[in-house]
Amino acid sequence: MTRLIRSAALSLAAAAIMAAAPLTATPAAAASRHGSVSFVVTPKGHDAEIVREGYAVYSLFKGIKNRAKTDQRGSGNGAAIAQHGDNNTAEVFQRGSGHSATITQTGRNNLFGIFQFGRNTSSTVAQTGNGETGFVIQGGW
Amino acid sequence: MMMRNSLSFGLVALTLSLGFAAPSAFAGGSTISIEQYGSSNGAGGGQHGWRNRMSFYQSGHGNSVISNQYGNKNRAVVGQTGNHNNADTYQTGNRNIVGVAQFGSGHTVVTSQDGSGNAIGVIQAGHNNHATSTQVGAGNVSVIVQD
Repeated sequence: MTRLIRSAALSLAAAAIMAAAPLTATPAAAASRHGSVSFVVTPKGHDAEIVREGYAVYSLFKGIKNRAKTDQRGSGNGAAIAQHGDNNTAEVFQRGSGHSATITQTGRNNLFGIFQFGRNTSSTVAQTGNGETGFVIQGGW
Repeated sequence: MMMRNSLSFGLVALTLSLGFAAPSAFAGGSTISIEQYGSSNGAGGGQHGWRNRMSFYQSGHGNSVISNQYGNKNRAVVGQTGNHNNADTYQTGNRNIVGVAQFGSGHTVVTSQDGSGNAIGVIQAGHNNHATSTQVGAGNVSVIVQD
């Protein structure tokens, strides 16, 4: 089960427009001086398998159990990753300022990435189970 | 960049036990503290600037750590108790902090900090975990915990 517990946004309108049919996307836009837009992508079925297997092959080749990566450029950003299990992969990518991201993975073969741009976006994601895959892309202003 | 103190070092422990500590030579100096137990552990890196501090501890065999500090008042702390763990830390700027603790075997961590007031903490418990953390800017915080 993948839960996006909090996605900081002043949401006015939401329109899910993603060309790839197997993917689900949830964008939210705000007509305010400050706000954010978020896309939550959770591939299912064959697409999820392709993504996971790509990372799995890499991890197998490298002999890696769990893999965590944070990449922060800017100021005042916070990222936290906690993994329990095998062959989990988590990545937080932050550009700008004031972002916060938390990924918690429990189980096997889970994959999640949070990509934040601009400023002051926030995501907290928990994956519990096996074979979960997803991405969050956020832009704040 | 002010460079009042420059220190580079390289150590490889091939004996069963090796301990080394280099306390600060003067009040504004940088410090390095290394302890290695076991065989074939290696430590290396360099300090450029002043009041930088780095501390290592390695217990099993085949562990390695490389730490580089460029700037002032940076702090790097590394643990590692099992075998064949690797840690690389790079700090450029001022007042950056990185702490790494790896308890089992086969862990790898690479951290890079370029800026000021950044903080990274990594803990990896079992075996064969891989962590990478990069920070560019100021006041960024990254925490990674793996089982």
